Amino acid sequence: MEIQTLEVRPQQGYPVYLYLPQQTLLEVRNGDTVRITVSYSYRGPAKTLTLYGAIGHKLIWFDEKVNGSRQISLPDSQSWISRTDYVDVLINTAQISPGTGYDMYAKFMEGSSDLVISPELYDVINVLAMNPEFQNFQISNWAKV
Amino acid sequence: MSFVLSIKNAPSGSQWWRAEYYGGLISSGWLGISQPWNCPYAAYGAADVTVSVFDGNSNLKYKSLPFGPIYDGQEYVHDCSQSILVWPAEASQFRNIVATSVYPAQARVGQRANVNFELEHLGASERVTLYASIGNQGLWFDEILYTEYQYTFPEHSVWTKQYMFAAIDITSAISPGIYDAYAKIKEKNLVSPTLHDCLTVLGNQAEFYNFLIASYQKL
Repeated sequence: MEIQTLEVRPQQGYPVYLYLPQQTLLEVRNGDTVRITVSYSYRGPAKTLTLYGAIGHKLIWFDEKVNGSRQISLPDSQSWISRTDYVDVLINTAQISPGTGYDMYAKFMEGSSDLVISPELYDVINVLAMNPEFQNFQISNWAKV
Repeated sequence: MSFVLSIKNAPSGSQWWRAEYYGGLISSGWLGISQPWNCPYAAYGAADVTVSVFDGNSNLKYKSLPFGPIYDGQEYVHDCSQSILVWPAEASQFRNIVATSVYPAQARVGQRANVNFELEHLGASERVTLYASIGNQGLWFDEILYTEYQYTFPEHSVWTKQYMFAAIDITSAISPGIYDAYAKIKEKNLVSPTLHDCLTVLGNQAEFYNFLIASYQKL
């Protein structure tokens, strides 16, 4: 067999079922902004697409609580190019209740169509309430005054 | 008829020519610029032939020095650009047409791909139709895109390799995939071997790979 065309694909990351990025738990409050950074390889015509990120709960489907989006201009490229981009999501407790174990995902959209969706990250966001919270409250000393 | 004389490479704007020899006693009379003189008179080995070339208003554009000798039964061509007598070129011939590559090897709809090919030419200048096609070689070549254009090969006294290309617009008539190409000279039915898998037509949609959340942080 004579090889006529050899396609070099970008390096494959973890397969989805083994996708275990280093997950750190973020604690956020109302008014905070979470920046979600995505990495990917791209091949195709020059396009301006919407990078979309959301925080919520993955049930059967992803129940979005808050989201953010940003326009990304991708260059024309006939070969795979590696890129990273980010999207910011504002935490608004009127939309996302204080609680623990929120999930996140990101995607690229063209108009209202989803072009590519990332695997979800689970239990990565805790939303803290604005009411006073105490920790380690104890009598540390006593004296006559 | 004893001999034939024609001219080539006359100055631009020339429309008529005439030739004389034997002390000016034998003349061709007015001839169209591409018309040969089929001389009915004996050549006598004359070495005093002169050629004069005129424009449409009978203004002299060129006059040769006397040349010769000329003999009966021969064909001659006077090259005005060099003021020399040359033998008529052989009949035009082509051989060894080969499609060598397609550039770029990957293209999208809306772009243009050049089918590069080469061939060998010998003999007189000739205008021919060069044709190239992109498609799939099966039992026969299933053409999807093609182009053709006219090209005049100059005169070549020996077999001379010519490097050519034909630009084909990649249109929506072709689907994303891998394709073959060939080239030919239409009038001669001279067809190159098929060049296999030489062009990848890319889809016009965005493609992603390894789209992952790499990190996240609180600003």
